[in-house]
Amino acid sequence: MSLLQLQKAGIRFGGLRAVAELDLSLEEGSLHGLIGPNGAGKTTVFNLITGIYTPTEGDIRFAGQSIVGKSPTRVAAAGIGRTFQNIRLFAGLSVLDNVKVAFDRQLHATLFEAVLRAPRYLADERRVDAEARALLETFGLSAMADLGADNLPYGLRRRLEIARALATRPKLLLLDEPAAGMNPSEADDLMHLIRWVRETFGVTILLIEHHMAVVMGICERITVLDHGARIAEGTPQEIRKDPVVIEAYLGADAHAETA
Amino acid sequence: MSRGVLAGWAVFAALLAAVWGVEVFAVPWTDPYLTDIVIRIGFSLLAVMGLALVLGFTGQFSLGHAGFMAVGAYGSAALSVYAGLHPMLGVLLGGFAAALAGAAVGLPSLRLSGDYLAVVTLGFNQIIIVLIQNTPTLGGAQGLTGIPVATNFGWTFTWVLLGAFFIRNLLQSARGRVFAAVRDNEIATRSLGIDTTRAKVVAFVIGAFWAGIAGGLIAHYRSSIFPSQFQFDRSIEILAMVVLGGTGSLSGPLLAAGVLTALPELLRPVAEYRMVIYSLLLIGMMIVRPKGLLGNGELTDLFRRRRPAKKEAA
Amino acid sequence: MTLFLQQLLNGLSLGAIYALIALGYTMVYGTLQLINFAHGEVYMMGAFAALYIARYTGVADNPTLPGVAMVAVGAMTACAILGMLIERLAYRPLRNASRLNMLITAIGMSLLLQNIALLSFGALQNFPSLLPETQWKVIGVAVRSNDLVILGVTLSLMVALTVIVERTQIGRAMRAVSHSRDAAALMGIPVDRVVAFTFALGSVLAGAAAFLVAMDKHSVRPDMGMTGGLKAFVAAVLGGIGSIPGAVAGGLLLGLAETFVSGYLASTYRDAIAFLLLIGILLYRPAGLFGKSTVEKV
Repeated sequence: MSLLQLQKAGIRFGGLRAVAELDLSLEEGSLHGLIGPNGAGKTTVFNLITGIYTPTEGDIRFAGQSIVGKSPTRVAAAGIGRTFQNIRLFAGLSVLDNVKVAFDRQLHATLFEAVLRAPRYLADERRVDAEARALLETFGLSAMADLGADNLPYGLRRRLEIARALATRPKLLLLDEPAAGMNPSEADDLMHLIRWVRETFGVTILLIEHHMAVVMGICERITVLDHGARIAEGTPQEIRKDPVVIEAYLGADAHAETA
Repeated sequence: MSRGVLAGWAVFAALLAAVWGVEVFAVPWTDPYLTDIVIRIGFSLLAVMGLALVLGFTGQFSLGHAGFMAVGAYGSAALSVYAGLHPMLGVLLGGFAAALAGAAVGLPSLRLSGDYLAVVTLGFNQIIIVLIQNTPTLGGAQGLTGIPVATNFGWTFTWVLLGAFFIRNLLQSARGRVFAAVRDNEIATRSLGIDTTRAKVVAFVIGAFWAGIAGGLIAHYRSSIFPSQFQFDRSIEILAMVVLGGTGSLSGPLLAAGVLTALPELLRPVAEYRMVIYSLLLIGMMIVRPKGLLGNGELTDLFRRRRPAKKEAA
Repeated sequence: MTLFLQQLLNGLSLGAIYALIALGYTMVYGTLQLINFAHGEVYMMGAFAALYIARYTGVADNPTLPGVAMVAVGAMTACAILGMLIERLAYRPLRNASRLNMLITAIGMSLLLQNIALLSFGALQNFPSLLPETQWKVIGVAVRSNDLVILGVTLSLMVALTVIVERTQIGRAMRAVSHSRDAAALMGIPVDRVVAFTFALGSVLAGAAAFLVAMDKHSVRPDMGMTGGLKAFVAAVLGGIGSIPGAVAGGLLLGLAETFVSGYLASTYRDAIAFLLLIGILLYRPAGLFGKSTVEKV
């Protein structure tokens, strides 16, 4: 069953067609890559899926239901999590609190119960604290739980962002250039992390990435965009050899490691 | 109930007892001039804590806080004068009226970006004043008189304590985390499935409520109120206290409120230059220390020598 | 019908003033994304500059056309200098600070200037009659010479502004900076100088407006920047902040709305009109009449 389906989805900004008639289908549990030269419209596709933009044409269906026109909040609540190109952490909160915020929708107590520190609120907090700490533990971030999120080293910030997104127990996880700014060894760790996330959390993953080693290394299927349209789709082996894809990347070495 | 919560209640009860102890045993023997300053500091504290929540912690550019004070003041005054209600009940209802006004202003506007919200709240401040000036039953520009005097040290600081505990507990709770998240990165917060507009409105309404309480207490202090007490000037003063005290701190703005309310008294000779000094302070602070005196930290951090970046949920 | 036409004329005259001031707000916002709260005070200072120049040069006692023109130009120049000074001293150090910080600084600047004016100039001063004031009846409508002067000067300045923005190199640079400051810088545009010029240009227009208002109303007050400035800002937002034609449209719209409401309903609610209109527009068209909503990069 397709978890996510884009049917001829597209969006115009004035005269510019940023994404045009895109067909994309994600099977449940798959690890799918979305690549293309800069400006191809990849992040726009993410924004369309998450409701930040509303498509001007076509449909987007998640778990069988159309999500076109739903606000980002509703889309996220329906089970789609994401990370961002420029890592968006809550700078004024600690690492632990960053994750705790993600559990907000699972709380039962009302505001007044919170202010009065009623038993139901305290029970909520104990549960959130335990689950958040457990999540940090599995991501290897326990030691930094009380550190300000701003003070985390770069590689760990990305990890925290992913951990936070998973706290909402999404069915689909969108990762926007998770390997940006990483050296080969960090990128390698990331690849293991993403595979491990998919196994452990049973989540479907759609990944935008420029880092070819990462994409080719972990994605089962890859969709290639150029100027807002799909120009190729297939397994990593097929994509690697596809002349249309190589041409689209003309001027940039398709096997380059720099993001 | 856990020990921490019990301790919290105990502290509250003790402080409350202390407040009334002071009211009964100390106030009658104190120079009324001094009592007056302290009570007026209390008014500022109530106004400031609400704005600290809205502006400092949730990051909303609310520039018309005095407008909500006006709603509370005139609402409670009208109830006392025309309906003969007990003043403190009037104050409470005035707070609710202000909260309602907060919802009315917030619901449509909090979808707008920061700058626009600033202008709308400013506009709201203006509109309320114009409305009051044109309503004869509220005394118009000449003011509303004959309000029963009921505000004293005891009542003022009872409300201050209630407000302080309410807001402090709120900020250190799960809800407080969400407010900070909205302030730090609203887009990321929404991506977690959280309704950020609702969170902003909640903060806004609570802020308005406490401003309304401050207004109600002011109304019952000297038996008359004037629209000119609640104009844009006043909003700016409260804003200055929050900004100078520290956006992201509760005790910072409270401290600033105390200092800036008392300061004009101590600087009587340069009273004329008060607003000039305020504005220079604002500009200077923004250039030198943009996050305000205490930034994200609290006064208690200085005693525990804890890094302000760490935030523990209660 | 004559009442309608009368209100129309009055509304346009008032709207022209709002438009002139609104242009300053909109240009600065377009360039820096900053609400220059102090702009209203620059306008106010322009009025006082006109007053003191008129007095000290004797034009107040002996108004001649070149003398009056000199006062006007003097006021506009003073405003330009003040505007650029404010930008240099208060806003440039905070160029990369958060939006809230810049807003607070602007508010602080506005307060500072207002109170300095209050302390130095007193509460209200009379502005001398500089131009002969007559009135003609045209199809039952009282057309004052002042209205013609206001509309005439405003029109000329708008034309000049359009020429500058559309046809000159600095105008092109201004437009580039308002699209993207970083891209403009990368293309070798001297951003600091363009910003200073933007402030100067907006302030010159405010100075002109100040002169016209002082001359028409025969008084200047330190708080005229507060009320006039705020309303002009509302006008700019109405029309779509960042849009030059928007500022003009918004100004005229506001002037007409205020005049018609005052004329047909109650004049006491005049001050509230601006904000009610604003809230109404923002709810239905958040970007204003001519504005384009900027989408935050995700």
